[in-house]
Amino acid sequence: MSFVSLEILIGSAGYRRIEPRIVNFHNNIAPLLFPNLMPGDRLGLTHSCSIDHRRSLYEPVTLGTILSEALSHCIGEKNDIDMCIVDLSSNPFISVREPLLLVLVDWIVVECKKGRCNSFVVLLPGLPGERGVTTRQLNNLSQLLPDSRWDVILVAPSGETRAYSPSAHAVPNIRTQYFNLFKEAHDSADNRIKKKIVRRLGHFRTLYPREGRSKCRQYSFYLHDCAEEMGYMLSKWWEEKEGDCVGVLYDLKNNPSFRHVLRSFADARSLRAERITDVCQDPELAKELSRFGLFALVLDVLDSGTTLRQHIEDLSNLGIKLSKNVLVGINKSGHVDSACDEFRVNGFVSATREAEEEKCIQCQLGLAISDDAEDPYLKIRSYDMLSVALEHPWVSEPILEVPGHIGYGYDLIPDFTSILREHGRWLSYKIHRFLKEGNCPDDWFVVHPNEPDSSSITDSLQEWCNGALAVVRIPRPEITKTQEAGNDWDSVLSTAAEEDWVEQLNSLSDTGALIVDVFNASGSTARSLAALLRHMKIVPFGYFCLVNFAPGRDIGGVPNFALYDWYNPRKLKTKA
Amino acid sequence: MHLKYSSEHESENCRSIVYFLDRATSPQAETIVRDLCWRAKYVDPLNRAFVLAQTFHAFLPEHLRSLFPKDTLGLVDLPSTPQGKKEHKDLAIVTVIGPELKALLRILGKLPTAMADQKSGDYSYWFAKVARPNNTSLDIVLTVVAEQRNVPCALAVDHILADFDARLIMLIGIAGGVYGKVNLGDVVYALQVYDYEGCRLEMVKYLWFLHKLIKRPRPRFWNTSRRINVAMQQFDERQMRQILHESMRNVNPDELPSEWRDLEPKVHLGSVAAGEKLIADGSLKRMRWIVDDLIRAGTMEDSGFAQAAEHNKVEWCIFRGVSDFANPRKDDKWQATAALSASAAGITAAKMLL
Repeated sequence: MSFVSLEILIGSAGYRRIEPRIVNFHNNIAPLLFPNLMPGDRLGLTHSCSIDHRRSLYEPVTLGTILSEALSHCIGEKNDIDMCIVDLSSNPFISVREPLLLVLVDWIVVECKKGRCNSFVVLLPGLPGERGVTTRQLNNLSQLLPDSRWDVILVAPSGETRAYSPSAHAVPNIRTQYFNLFKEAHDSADNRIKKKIVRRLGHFRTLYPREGRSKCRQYSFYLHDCAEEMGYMLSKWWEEKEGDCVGVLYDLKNNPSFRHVLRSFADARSLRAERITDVCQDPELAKELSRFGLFALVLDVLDSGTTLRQHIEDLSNLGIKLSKNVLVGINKSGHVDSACDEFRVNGFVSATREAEEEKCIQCQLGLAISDDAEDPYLKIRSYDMLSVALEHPWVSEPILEVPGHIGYGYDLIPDFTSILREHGRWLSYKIHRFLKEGNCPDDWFVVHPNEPDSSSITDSLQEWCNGALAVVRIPRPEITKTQEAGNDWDSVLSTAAEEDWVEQLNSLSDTGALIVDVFNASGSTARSLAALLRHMKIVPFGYFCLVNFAPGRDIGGVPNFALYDWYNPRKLKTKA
Repeated sequence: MHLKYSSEHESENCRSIVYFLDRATSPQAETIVRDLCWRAKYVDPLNRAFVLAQTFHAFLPEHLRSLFPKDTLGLVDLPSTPQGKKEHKDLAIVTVIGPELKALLRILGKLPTAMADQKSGDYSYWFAKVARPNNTSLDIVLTVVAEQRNVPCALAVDHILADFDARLIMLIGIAGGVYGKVNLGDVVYALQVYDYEGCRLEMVKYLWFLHKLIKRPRPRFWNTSRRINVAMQQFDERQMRQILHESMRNVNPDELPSEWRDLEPKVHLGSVAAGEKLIADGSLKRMRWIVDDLIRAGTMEDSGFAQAAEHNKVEWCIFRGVSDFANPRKDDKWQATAALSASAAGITAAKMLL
């Protein structure tokens, strides 16, 4: 009995090999559901393919095409297989919507009719509603496939299964085993949220209104793009600690997304959710709430505990009964769980307190105050760039990265390796915002020189893209060779046809690509990569770098954007 | 690919770079100065001269630097030098009383209790950015006069224009409206300000033993620029209402009239009567019959505001939300709503005008 598995990541377009931990996961669950399977029965290569967020909403039919192509790719010349695992479990629940599932069911019908495969295991981030159209369609499969033998099994992360088959195929109880295997293969929400806390740089101000003073900080912690994780952890916390509470009182002014998550959570459970300031300012509301039972406090940040103590004092004076458990988004005590007087504080993530300055240099320089809740700038401020650049001694440019036939290398530039090591998450958060707010095409992927610094940018970017970002890494020696040959890629491609990066680019024809690099000095690497992409019939829709040392210089007609423009162009040997 | 808020102001960048120049080694300093010189060309001449002078000082030999420290050359505190701190802003907004300031802060996406970003003398300034449809943003500075009447308002205008180089200055606030011509919550855009206070008082003898006091009016009129009046003909009321309703959701319903959800305010283009009196006797309606049929609102600051703006040669305009009808039934119930309407109208107009 042979089987293949396809992992669908809803994100950017492109095919790539499934990560080994997911391959193991698929190999382990297949025999649980089909005991006849042997480990050696696995067939062909396993691919993960992606579909863009917007297309998943508006053109879900694309999924059918992607799955058919991926299946053909996997089974190769063999005409049929016995079982196919379609893994959608790595996606956020919200991305796997009903229209997309309907297209998946249609694809299953087509494949059964073609006779390529009869058994499908669909791993989902959550089972569809029992009264939903997908379930109705699955119940009608017998009418659509009257003469075939088929099995469709849906599996939720908890291990709960739902089977559809004309032969009443008995699905073994795999709850515990699947749950454990799933946990091993996928990052938990706790781990994912830890990777999504950003230490932003800026000019932040903490106000102490009761004491009539304020202090400035250079850093602010922020939970970016993790509504799904927060929702999961909030539910978990509620079930473990706060089952008896009748509502929540919150102060989430610095984290609007947490506010939305909390309000949806409260709506779903018919809980009262009120802003603490509203309660304190409205005696009628306070009087009304004091007649109810316990309320849980939810704050975005626990810093020194002053705000929490003030809230507790104010609310207690109003006669509101408070639970002893407090939930915070970021606990700056250095631990996830801590105590504040007799209250137990549970945090999503921990962080260390930022130093506050009485005499703020940024105030003396007249720099605008940054908002803890929102970052208005996509670019980096000079103050932040120079403060991170001067944290470490500067280094000379690696000789391998210098296009020697065009210009001279820099004697001294900031140590980007150290900058990326210490501020990589903040920089990737900036890039992620740029990608979200920029007008990217539907199908796109990232291409960059295969160098550690560029790879570290895309690796940290994967955290924000749920691992769905397709990345093609081009070896630097190949780029240098083509630069010397006037950006002619013919000879390089003819000798490297079997290389992974060429295969990836071949599979990505007719899509768009974003070229990413650490810094731009003369634009020669970008021009060379743009020439490669055009040669492969891929549109380079943008060039993005952390620092642009040659602002205003044309980069092969590709629109370019940098987090920081720093005028310091490479000294050229010939006219560029 | 287009982006919002692509960068902060270059003068802030230049000041930061100069600060780090002192902390860099000499090979680093050359790279940093190259960046500074490239940026300095985008800064106004005064700021440019200042940062370049500081850079020059950083490169002086050690013995000259110790002989002439920065403070003796006046190169320490740029914001305190009166000319140097004139920072560019697209729009300066003046409000008069607390509810007007709070409403404007709400419309600009800030908390109504937000602390001031900068203080200058007795005045406080709040900064904000507003996105425009073409994906650029408007730099806004706002202040509150905290005192009614024309002279305090004129002083505040003079102060803010001394501190900031604004392209347009706007007065946003509440006013008494002319009953029958405007509704509560509507907004009056001032085509002209009618200053009715000026008059000559005479005693006229009309019988051998009787004298009568006669007022001979000497009003003054201040007209808004034709450019703004032309642009206001295409004012988008729908957009104004959208901004208004979005911000109203965050307001405590007790501060708003019960019918706020159905509120569809209109913008009236008309004259504003400005004097030193808080009209609450219904005389505004009479003033309209006698002086100018276009009078739609009565205020206490607009004449001072217009004169100070004209004196500083800065374009100006006025948006007044109608909070009462300047008659004996006048109360505070509609103040917050009227201030929000006027603020929404002002911001909508700013996006169109700048």
